[in-house]
Amino acid sequence: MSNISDTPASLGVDRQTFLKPVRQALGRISGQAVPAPPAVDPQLVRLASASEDVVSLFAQRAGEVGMTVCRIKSDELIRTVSELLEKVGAKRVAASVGSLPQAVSLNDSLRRKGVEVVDWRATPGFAEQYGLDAGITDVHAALAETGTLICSSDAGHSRGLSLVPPVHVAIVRQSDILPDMVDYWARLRGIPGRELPSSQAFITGPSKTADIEGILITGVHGPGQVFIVVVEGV
Amino acid sequence: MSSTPSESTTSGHDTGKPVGLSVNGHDLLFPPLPYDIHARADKATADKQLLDFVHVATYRKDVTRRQVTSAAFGEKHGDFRELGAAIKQHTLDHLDHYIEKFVDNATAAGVRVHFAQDAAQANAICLDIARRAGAKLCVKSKSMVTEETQLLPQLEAIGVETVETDLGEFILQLDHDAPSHIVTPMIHKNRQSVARAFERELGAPYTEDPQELTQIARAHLREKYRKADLGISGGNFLVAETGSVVICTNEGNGRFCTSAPRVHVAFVGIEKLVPTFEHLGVMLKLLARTSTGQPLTVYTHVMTGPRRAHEHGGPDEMHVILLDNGRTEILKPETREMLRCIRCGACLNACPVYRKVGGHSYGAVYSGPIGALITPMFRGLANYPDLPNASSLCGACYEACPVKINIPKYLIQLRAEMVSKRITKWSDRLVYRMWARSLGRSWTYRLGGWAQKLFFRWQARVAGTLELGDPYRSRGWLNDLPGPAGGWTSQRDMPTPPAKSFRQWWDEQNRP
Amino acid sequence: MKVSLFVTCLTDTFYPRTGIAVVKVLERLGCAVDFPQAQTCCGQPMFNNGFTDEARELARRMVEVFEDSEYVVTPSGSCCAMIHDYYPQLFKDDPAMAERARKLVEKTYEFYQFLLTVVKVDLRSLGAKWSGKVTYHYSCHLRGLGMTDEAVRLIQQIEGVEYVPLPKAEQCCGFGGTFAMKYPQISGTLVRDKVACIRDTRAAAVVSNDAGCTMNISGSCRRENHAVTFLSLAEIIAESLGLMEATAV
Repeated sequence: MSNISDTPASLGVDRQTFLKPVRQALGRISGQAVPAPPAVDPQLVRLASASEDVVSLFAQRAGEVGMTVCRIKSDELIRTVSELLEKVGAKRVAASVGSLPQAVSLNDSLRRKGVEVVDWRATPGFAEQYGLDAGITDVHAALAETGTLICSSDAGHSRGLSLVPPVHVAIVRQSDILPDMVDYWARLRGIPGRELPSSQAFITGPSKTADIEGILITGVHGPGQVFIVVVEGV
Repeated sequence: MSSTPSESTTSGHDTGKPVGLSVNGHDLLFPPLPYDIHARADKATADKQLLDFVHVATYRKDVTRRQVTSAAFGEKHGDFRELGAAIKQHTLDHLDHYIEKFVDNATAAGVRVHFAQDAAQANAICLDIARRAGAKLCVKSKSMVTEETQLLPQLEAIGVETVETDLGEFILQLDHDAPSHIVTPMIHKNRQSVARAFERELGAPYTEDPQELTQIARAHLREKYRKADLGISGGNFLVAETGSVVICTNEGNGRFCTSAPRVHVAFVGIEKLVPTFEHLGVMLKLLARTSTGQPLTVYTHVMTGPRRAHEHGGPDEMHVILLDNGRTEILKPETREMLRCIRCGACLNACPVYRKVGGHSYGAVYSGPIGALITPMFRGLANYPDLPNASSLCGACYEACPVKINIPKYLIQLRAEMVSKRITKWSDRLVYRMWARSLGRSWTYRLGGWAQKLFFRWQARVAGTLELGDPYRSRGWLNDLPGPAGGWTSQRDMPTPPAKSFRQWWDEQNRP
Repeated sequence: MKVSLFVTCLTDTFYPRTGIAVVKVLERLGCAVDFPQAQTCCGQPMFNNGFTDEARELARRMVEVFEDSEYVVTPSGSCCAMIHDYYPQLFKDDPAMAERARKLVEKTYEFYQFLLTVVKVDLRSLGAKWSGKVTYHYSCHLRGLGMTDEAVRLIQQIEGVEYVPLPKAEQCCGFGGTFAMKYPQISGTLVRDKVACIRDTRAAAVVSNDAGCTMNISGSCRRENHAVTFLSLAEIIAESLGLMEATAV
């Protein structure tokens, strides 16, 4: 099997040949200057602002799209997550909650309760994750306006835990919650030199379909249930 | 011809013949050319089930769109649409620049970008990638572009089992049917047809419960994700500044197809570019609310290159196939605006004609008002003479469009092109020119109006429907007119003019 | 206020009473109404079917005929939209003519657009009265002019009118000019849908403000055996002000 780097020239055309009819249609020449793109005025685009109670707004909007939200204090986190897992009958779980101080104690505590906590890093890809009952993750950000969780891939975060198991438990710190998507882009831009993750998943609800007669069904390919634990004050 | 669901859903079950096998999805989207809409449209309008499904579903979506956009954007809605339109227009106006930027940035992120001028090249590139990867099983998420290039049979032909994973597309594939709506592909099918297809093709126990049907599909497709070595997706947006590919899905299959297999190939048309993440944000806010009434689709997946060395999960190889396939033809100034389309489907839902004839009547991959524009552009105006004409020009599509494509204006423009290229029948050209000439002078105009009145009222007198009374109001009715007017009276009665015209009244008043 | 009436070809021949009503209402509101006899058709049938050159000549005629008018008022959203949406564009290669066309656009109003935005009429203060259950058909071309609920507001200003909203009001009736003849099944399915909605309202009268829609819907009502009266907005206003004999419903 070949590696991407040693594949020979593509079967299509080269870049300049491809661009020729594009430039012809536009009446442009290569390298011709381009005016600034339309300005994205945050005043216009912003549909939620920091002056609002963003935690409540987030909880409300996430609820509207079918996710279950609870708001807790930091010291209630482990108990809350254990109870949620017990409620859905999850026996086998995996977690990627590295950004939380309680990460280690959460795993230990779950194991003590008899929940098998799988190390998803042990095997490449999603192999280990298909058999899980629940995936527990923190988030890179959350958006109040749309009730959205943003889960990005990195060394500590698989693409799979918010997708593969039937239940996703997302732990959202109050400080993760941004009012609007414009704030997320601003934050991303504010980290100079940062390499983008290969995957940023904006999650707004449990997996859904209305393909059969327009009837809404959850849990098609991704999780049918998404629980959001909002940790206030952190 | 089997454009309507009744054939695929009712005929076979009673006869014991496998249901749906009579439906050849390919022929639905690639009919013999030139394509005449009448046969399918007449059949569709006579199909009560199709009307029940498509009409009710699209009408409901249209109502939802209006409620949701007005709740979310309020007073800003007009400005939002203006901005969405301006972003897409600017990007198209300088598309060479943004393609170059995208290619540079995607390549830097580890993506292999390929350039395909037509469907054959795009498919050849993909087959080559599949061969090199030694692919045996491909999972595919929804992509209109791969419908356009007819990729699937070609993958199957080289021995790569290819599974559509979007629930609707999966069902269509099992039932040898074809998508009829760009967002809700199986809008024309009912649950019974799904139940039968699952029973027949998957050996599943017969159930009509959508929840159970969905679970059957889930279990079946999970096994496919687990084993797949190739994943194919489309792309809703390409971000030039970062080289990212963005897909918007609801079921999660899109994330699986782009993350589980070792190799990911994205087929994307060149019109999908936006300059930056900020611009992407504007388009995302418009897309889901206009399309399905959601604040965002459940999964908006922004992919920037393959799996990084330190990451777990994600493809080792990521390919983007940039496709022209006729788009640079539309990119010319006269039609460029058409390429702003973000495939939200709002114009289909709002269109009275689409509601009544369904997607397969358009005889092409892209249906509805936007399809009526771009299909003749892609595949030849002379091949699709009905598409620009089978519209009442009501403007509902223009009102619904989040990027303000003036669809009625361009339908008329295509009609004008048909006249100038003499695609319009010579007899029609003669009639309109004579008509225009008679309207060009007062006396011929009056004469024409008088003759029409006389003929209609004489016919009504013969038919015995002529009412006498108020000379400016009482009229007769005709129910069987000859020639082209017969199209009118085949459906409804034709009123005759009253005894006197407005001009006669004005003259009788001795007004200046 | 001097107003020139552009009656439109369909209204002239098929719905003369509407033209008469427009004249009477405008005069009642203090306008001096004239009727330039040289007017014929705005060219919409030609334009919509791709006969741009022919449409341009008819547009030129319109521009000339109404050149000296202060206001041009027409009881048709569709013909008004033709002028507004497409006239300047038709003369894009002739700047002088395009400018004259723009002047026509600026002074051309659909009848009730004129009542609301120029005359700023309040039918209540004029003692408008009309008795009966009424629904209103939104013609699609008013959408292009940005007019949505204005006609309904006027109808609701008439004492004694019981207004019933038409379900699915924004869906086209299927007229579309020659579309109705070229694609009869599609058009027919649409108009029957409209008739069913009208039936559901149990209204005695339908107020419809475009002659084309009225021909289509009334013809279908007759075919489908649904007895209902059709009135233009000008007619119901003229009747409500006692300027014309009231239609019994």
